[in-house]
Amino acid sequence: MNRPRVLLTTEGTYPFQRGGVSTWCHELTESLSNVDFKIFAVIANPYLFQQYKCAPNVTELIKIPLWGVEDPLEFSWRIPFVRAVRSKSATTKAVIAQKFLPIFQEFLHGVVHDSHNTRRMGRLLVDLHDYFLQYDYNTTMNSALVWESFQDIVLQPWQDRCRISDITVGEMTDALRFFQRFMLTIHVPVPEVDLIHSSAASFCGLPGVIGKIKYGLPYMLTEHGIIVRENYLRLVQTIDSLFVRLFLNKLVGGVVRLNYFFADIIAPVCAYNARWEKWWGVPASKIKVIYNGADPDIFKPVPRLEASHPIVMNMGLIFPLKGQLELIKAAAIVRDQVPNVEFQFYGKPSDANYYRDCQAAVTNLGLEKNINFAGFTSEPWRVYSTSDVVAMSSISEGFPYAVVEAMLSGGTIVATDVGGVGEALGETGMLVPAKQPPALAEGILHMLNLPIEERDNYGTQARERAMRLFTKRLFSQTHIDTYHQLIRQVKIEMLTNQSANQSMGMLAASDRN
Amino acid sequence: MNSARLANPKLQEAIAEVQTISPQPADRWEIAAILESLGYTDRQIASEFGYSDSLALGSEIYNYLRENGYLATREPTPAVIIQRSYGEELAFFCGEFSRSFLYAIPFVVSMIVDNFFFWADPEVVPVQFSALLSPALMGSLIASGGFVQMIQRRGSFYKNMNEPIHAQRSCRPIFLMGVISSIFLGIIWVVFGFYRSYAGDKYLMITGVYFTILSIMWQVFAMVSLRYKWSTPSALVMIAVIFLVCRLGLRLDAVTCQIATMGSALVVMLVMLVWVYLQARRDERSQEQLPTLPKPAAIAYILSPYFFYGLLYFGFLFADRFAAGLILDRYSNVPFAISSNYQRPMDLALLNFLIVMPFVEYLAAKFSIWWYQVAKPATPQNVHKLVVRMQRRYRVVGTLVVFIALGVGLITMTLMSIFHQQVADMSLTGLGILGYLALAFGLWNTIILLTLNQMPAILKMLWPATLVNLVCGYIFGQIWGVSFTPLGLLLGSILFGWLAGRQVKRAIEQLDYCYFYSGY
Repeated sequence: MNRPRVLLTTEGTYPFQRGGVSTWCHELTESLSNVDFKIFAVIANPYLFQQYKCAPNVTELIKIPLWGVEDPLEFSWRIPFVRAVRSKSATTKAVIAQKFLPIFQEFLHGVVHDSHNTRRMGRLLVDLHDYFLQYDYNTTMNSALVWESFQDIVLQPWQDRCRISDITVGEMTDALRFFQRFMLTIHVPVPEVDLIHSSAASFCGLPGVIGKIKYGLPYMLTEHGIIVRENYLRLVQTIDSLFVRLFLNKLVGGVVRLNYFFADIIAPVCAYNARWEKWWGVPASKIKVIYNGADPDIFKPVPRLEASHPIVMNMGLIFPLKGQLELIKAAAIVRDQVPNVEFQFYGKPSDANYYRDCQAAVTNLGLEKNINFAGFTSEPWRVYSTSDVVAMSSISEGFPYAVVEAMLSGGTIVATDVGGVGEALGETGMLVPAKQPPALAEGILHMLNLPIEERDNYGTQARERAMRLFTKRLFSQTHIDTYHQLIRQVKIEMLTNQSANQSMGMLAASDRN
Repeated sequence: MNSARLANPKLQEAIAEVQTISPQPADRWEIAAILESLGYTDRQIASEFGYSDSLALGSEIYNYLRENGYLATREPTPAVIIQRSYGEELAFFCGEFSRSFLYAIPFVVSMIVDNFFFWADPEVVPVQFSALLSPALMGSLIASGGFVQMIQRRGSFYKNMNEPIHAQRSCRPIFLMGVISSIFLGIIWVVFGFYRSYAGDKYLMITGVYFTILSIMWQVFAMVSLRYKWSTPSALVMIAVIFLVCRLGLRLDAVTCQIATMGSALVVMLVMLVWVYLQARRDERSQEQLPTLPKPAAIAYILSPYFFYGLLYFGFLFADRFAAGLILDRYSNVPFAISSNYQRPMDLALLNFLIVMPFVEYLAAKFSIWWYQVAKPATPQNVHKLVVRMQRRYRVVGTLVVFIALGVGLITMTLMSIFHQQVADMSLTGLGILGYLALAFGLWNTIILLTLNQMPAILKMLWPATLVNLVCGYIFGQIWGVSFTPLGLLLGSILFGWLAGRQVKRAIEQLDYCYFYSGY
């Protein structure tokens, strides 16, 4: 079989932002060196720096900036440029009215009223995509005709929380602007590949949906977090208007449904996340959990040095969902019983205000001698395995790399029972409820008070479990197997359809004879 | 709804936590998401609250909030009109006024000095030479106007994105293109002048260089001000000061002063340009990597309306002078050689216009700000009332613009009569003032349209108006004499004012769409 060509789509992550999803993408592309990847990166603006050096088998990087451009034309896919100019001049009022509005209106109606089945919505999405392959995106979406149509549809009763008469021009503007920006992902052609793999069930997955419907390409979807849940949380924090929030919930919901429906396989990174997928109607048969894996040759136990005092460490970017503040509160309780305990926090602060709160809590609780913000470390495995306890205090998680890496490094882990952490740890560490510093402190104290052999036994078991379930090798093997299986499956389907068509043709011919 | 379970204090605590994060939850999914983000797991939810999972609890809480009136439909959003105190308003006015008026200072100073101190100064330099300098100045503004507009537009786009490095990077090719075209046009002028023997070779060379230097200087101003906002106004004030020193202190003639001041300004700006360039290079080197900029063809395409606007704006402003120059050409053999008999009265009219413009800009800014403030909270119910209200305000402010322009014009005319100017000069200035009055009205509308992102519509109005200005001015000048050339300006300005006003009225009728389209 030739080298498979895979379109890997990302949103706000690889290769422009650091984080769990980006690590996953990097590991995937690096470890599957016998696959050619094209990256389709949906990004906030075109001027972000690349945070990862892509592997040599990444043959193309397609950037789709949602903001930071006056016109998508600035990074137009149309070459030579004259084609872009022609598409602009071809986008007349008559074209918009006759060719675009009927599809747009039906699609938008389907989004806000849930009036169409997902198959029909998929077809409409492809029609919109086909339109934008021929005509200009900005001219169309900024036209008065689209604005009027949009108003007509969103001002119909589709929700009962905001009175229609109270919806403002500002709110409708925001809603249409978001729609316009997010749908940019469908205005570019789907590259020629054998399979599309999306890293989120979001707008970056729409090329997968289009590829599936239009070209019969297999579509694989990996869910790290749950996009619906994350979207709800993001909107609550960033959008004041209830109307805009309701609209965007509908839009994202519609897009998620399209992704779930058309994906051949949905691969959450932990079974915990599959709950939401099932709630959204994904049949269990379509779900295949593929756990993240780390490299056991890098993350392995190192000999522990004699320490004069017990060390508890925490790894992760410093921001609210990682729960460092709760760990600091727990540290105060631990300190009362083990006065010389040291808590080491590794990771950069990604939320300055939260970091300030953490520092203030350290001062207020008199923990200056017990807490050390150690910043970034290039040798995390060493810290995991030389600490007495690895404390993970997250409030919300998917399937964190940090836990897998700590397990492979033979760390003794106390973690909050969130997301897929429990699945990762099994019985090889201690789980405590999130946001409860006393429970977290109790878990840490329990581990610290164990005889050292017994404590190390947890680490040994954790490594054994991780070696069995969460290695990079297993991770990449599962992915390549899945790719081959999906590509084969599509080929068989195509051959079956072809032979069926031929048989039908022969039957028709014999009938005619 | 299970009221016994809901009475659980821990559950009430969870509800309160949810309400703190989202006082108006959108639906049960949102509540489930918030619960999970707060660290509630299914296991914990089952053991502590007796629900199977976060979604079941989310649904229960949503129903509870709904039935207990916590999810009442929200109140309409009132319009937030930012009311400034008198002091703040004065500061706003001064800011708007000075930003615009600073650009007129060198011209104002040279006008006052030349008209009220040296108006009887004999022409020290040959007529052929001095007659060429004015067209060179106007030509430089026209030739560079398009590039300056492009630099300002793209630069402010990146500055608004807080990306000053990209502002410099993306404007550098535009600047280079402008410089090359300025040099090219300068050479063309000299070669053509030699061919037609318009003036002495020395004068042609000097005016060619003068044109090129000025063209480049306007573009240098634009580039430097991307980094240092006050560099251009400071340079303009400096120009005025140098001019005063040369003219009043050293008693040099007007033309020499003009060349001396422009030369010094250029030297200062070139030093600043090099400084800015070095700074930008240092900033760029400090970056680990520099992202790819948009395709140059795309940038040129997107900015082309701004290029033509810059070109047409100055073209319109000086069209009457070119028409007058073409008429006079028959006698002087120098194209566009404008006699001082025409230029001085028209300069006074232009000065009058430059004094009016800061007021116009202030009123346009006020009107636009008010537009956004009232359009944003407009609802389908009250949008029609708002249109009527906006039309009324448009008429009031428009009338005010006309009155201010008339008032300043009357002051100018009165001053002229006090200083015993000739009747012919006064009539020419009067005609010019009327033309510029209509232009001021048109520009007031244009500024409003610019804030509404309607550049293509502006171009559609500006080019026929420029054509009318040039053609009618030339025809009237040919028929009745050069002093009737400003009739072209008047007609062109009236056409422009009328078209621009009509466009703004249309925009008001579609105020919701314009709000959307303007990108706010």
